[in-house]
Amino acid sequence: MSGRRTAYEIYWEILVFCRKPQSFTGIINRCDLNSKTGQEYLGFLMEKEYLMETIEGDKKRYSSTGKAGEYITLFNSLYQKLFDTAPTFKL
Amino acid sequence: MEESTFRRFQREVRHFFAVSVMNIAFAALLMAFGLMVVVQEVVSIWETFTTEMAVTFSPVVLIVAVSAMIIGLGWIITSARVFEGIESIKNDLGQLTKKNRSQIESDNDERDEELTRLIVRMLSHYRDNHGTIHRMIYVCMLGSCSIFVLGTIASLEYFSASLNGFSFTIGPNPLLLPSMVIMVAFAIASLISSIYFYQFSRVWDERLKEIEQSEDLLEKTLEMSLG
Repeated sequence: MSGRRTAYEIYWEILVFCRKPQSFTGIINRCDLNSKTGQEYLGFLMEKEYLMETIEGDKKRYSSTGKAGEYITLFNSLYQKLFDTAPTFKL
Repeated sequence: MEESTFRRFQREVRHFFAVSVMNIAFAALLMAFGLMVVVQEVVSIWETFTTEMAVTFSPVVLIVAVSAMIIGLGWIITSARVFEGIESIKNDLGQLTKKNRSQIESDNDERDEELTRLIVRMLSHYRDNHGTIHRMIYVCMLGSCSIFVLGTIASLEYFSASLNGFSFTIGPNPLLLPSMVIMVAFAIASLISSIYFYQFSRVWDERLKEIEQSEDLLEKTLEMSLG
């Protein structure tokens, strides 16, 4: 996903994608981030224990923790609620 | 997944896609109208200088027609950017609809996230094209006026203005009346397109505000301070 997004939207994207263990390159490609900002976002999520790092062979993988579920659910409900309230756009 | 949320989002995307397609069509029409009048004027200029015929041409008309052509071209380029994004979201939404029909109830979470992802993409597309969409409101209005002015100019055979008033004669072509009706219809439709862009931006600006307000809650949930 590319384009102008808020930090919260990027956190959500990373956490949902990391439901299955993912590599750093996979995450930055999927979320359209550069390495520097990718490191910052992953660093923050790991510090808050929403993401954990595992070693598979000689590769590092990142996966969401159980704590991420609450944030993902809240985010989904807030964004979908945008369409429950008026006004809506129609022809 | 709440069916109503999905349906509402789907309807909005479809309607905005239709407005975007209509917008590109009018931009192309404006450019074509401009080109038509430019060609007519250039032929008149050529005949004036190469023959002894008393052919009239107006530099004002030529300037209006060239401006209309340039506005039309710029309009197509900017509309294409908005169209491209909405088309891609509409296609992905179509795939999600197919998936919804074929999959079983237990995949609700996954579908819920797919819908949220598309909503985030739409918000992101709107943020990226916020300025363009706002400009479209005025460009469509300007386009509508240009189509009307060019259509009127093309149908005039003679026009004169003085301090006492003005007089004009329209061409004898029997197809003039139907073409005038079509031209007025295009001008009105372009004006309607401008109104739709206004409505769309009003709704999505409201949503961006709502998202900004709910960021506090997301921040608390993440136990963070971005301050």
